[in-house]
Amino acid sequence: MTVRWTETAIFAVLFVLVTGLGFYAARWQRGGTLDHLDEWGLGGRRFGSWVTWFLIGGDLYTAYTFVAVPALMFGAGAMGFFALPYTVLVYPLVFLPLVRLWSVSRVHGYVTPADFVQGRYGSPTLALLVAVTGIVATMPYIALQLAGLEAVLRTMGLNGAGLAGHAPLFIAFVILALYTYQSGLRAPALIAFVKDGLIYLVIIAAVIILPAKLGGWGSIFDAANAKFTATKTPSDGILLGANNQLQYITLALGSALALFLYPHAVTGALASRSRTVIKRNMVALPAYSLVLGLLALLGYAAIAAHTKPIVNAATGRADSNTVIPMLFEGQFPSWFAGIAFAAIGIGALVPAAIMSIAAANLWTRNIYKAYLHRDATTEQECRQAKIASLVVKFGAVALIVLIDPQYSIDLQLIGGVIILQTLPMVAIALYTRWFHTWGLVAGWVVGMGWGLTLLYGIPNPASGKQHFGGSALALDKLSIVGWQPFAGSPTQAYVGFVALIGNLAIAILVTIALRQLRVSNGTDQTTPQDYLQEEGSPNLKPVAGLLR
Amino acid sequence: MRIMSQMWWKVLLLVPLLVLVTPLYNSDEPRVWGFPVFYWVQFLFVPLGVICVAVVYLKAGDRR
Repeated sequence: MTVRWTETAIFAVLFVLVTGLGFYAARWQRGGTLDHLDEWGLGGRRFGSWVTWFLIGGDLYTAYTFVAVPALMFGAGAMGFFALPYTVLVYPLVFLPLVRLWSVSRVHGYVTPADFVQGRYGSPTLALLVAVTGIVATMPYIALQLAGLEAVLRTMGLNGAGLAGHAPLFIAFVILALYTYQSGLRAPALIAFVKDGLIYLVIIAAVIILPAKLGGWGSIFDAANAKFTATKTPSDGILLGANNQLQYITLALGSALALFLYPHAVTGALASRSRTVIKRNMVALPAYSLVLGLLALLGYAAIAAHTKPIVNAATGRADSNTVIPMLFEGQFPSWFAGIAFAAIGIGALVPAAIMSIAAANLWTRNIYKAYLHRDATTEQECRQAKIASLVVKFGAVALIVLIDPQYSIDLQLIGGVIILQTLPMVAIALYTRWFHTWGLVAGWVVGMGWGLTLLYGIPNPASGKQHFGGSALALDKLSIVGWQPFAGSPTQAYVGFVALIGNLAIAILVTIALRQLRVSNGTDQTTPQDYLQEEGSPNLKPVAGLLR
Repeated sequence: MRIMSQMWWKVLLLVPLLVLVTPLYNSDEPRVWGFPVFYWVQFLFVPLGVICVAVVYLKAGDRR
């Protein structure tokens, strides 16, 4: 395959533009010093409504979403549309807890969700569990951004074999790593404006032009229906079947509950200036959900347009992530395809930067400072975080290079299941301290162990894999210490949700037992009033580095 | 009394959970602009969710 020069040139120009912005960001809205985590890791904690909208939008609606959700629709049909109810549910669910987290974090100067857990329960063990879970769940998420970026690069013709085939990806990531190192969270915040501008432009053009070219939405849905009816698989189709409705429901709800447990989502929220900024954003962010829903339907447009995914020269297999780039390539003039590729590519850089910063903050605050170097100065903390952000990024590159991209998607699946297991420690703790520290630890161990065991046992007949073949658990296989409550049922459910129920049940039982035995439950450094403080309250901890 | 009425507004945040009742909309006809019911109903939940959150934002005050 030859390189598509027009597309590559436009991609390169836009990439250079955002690189310039990334380095310039160090000086944008700058405080007194960048040598403090409040500045480097949270952008000075003073982003207003607009910046926050672009930042969190850029953070949650990632390149992977733009590439993989339509690819799932292309392959499996209605099941892939779970992304829409998922993003419908997330804002009403997190609206109240998130402002409480913002307030308590500003009163005590928390940078990460694990900082909050440490303050709430006074337990370094619990904070360490939250930090490790966060880092482990984030790494494959970054790797998936790379998979999205690489899908675009390969579609442009940079589809080399072997290690050299990853070179364009590697170069893009070194540049990203450098400006994130220098500018911290301000870099993705500034670049997010470009990313979202491009994404909106591309999607508006696509939803107007594609149906016009392909005979209207009606015939697009009919083409998808014809394709799924022709296949032997019973679970696909443009509507849900009898067995996957529970999977659809639990996947949407479980993903919505998990989203703001991810460290990068918390980082975006804590960087905002006030509770009002967060609340306004909970109202305004669903604008992205409409875009996501329309993008998902492009998977059907690709069916109607007879789009074929390209073969990844590094693995020798068809890469379903290239379906949407190939749709743009086939249906639009080259210059516009170039803009679309840049939108997806830059859409990978923004969340990758935020995720690596969030993981670096967790490492620095809750592992380095808590265990390795207790009396680290703020400058040492900041330097440690910058270095950690590099390590995290190159770890993610290594994941992509060493492991088949297909396998990286499975890692992401595991990430979602395990981050959900921190719900009782973080989200429920915002409201009540009823749970006992060791009850939470026991629940985490059981939820994690059970979730991973269930994932291990799920085969994927389509790809011929024995283990980690998906997140849909047939309830028939569900066994609670040998007892099979749903034996014979073909209904499927999302593993993360099932494991969370196990987690909560154990946490409740152990908590009741420990309360009976009157085992001490540590000290709470927070007061009920801390969760209600708004911007301007004298109780807020001053942000370091702010010029007065 | 005010506290009570603020609490009741928050119940609105549960309304979008209706999107989880898939049998309500898991059908093809009637189509709107070529979109099967399954798709246009879920798209309608986006503005519905926005309205619920916006009303709570405006009515429920800043406590809790």
